Amino acid sequence: MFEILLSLLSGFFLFSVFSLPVRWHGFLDKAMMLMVMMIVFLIGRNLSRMPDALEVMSSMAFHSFLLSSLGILGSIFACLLFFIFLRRRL
Amino acid sequence: MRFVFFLIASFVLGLFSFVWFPFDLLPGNAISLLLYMQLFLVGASLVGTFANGQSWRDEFHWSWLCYPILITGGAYLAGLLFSLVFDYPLFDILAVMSGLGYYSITSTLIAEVRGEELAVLGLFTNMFRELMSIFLAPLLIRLFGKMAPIASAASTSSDTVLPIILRFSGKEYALLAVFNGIVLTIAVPFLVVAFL
Repeated sequence: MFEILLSLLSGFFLFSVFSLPVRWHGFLDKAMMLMVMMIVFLIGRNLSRMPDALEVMSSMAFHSFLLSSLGILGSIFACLLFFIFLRRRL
Repeated sequence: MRFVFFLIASFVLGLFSFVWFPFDLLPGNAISLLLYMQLFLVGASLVGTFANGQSWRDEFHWSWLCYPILITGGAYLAGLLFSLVFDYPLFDILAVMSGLGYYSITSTLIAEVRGEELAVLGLFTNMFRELMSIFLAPLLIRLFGKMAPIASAASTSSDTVLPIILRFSGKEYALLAVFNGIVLTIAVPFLVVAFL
């Protein structure tokens, strides 16, 4: 938890103090994308070391699709209920 | 959109790379190092978003503070339902749901603490959430109103899904989408770690 907070805040404050030229923002985005791709590559690589990797992935794909659909619906319905509550109150 | 295909390609390449090169190319803590570097860049990318303070003050409404809480709460309720039906450990599912579309951070944190199997569930679930928010935005608006793409995109409402929200919900939802995305982007790492 501490490392997460430290990384986030150090990035924020360092770049607040030394403001970046606009053309550097594109570079920042590209560096972030590259890092995400490397992390996903490493996850795939570590997963393939498992003896039953294919089985794990096929069951995960179905469950994750279901889970993300449920998550989306849950978030939307929570906001809708709040809208109804707001309209009644205001 | 192109980035998602790059991500899928990286994942597939990673799967096959161990077959082609079955030895350790990188140190064991490579994922952790990449995670901290990524969080550093996330912090840096948030700097520019607070630049236009005047429009934030004009548009802000107290109800905006409730949306990130409601979006997270709704996702947790869905996770609770899923864990009851499919007999998954509740805290594992809540950690996955805490990603709220932010697949990179979620999968990395889970991989570091709980291993690759749950990390893949975290990666796929949050990747699907982002993809569905992009592709289903017009349908969600028709069914649930203009706020629906912001609720569905969750933490990605301030970056990848923002152009879709602007296009289909309208510019009046832009600041709310950015606010919601920033709050959830900052909250996601802490929420995920809290359940691991």
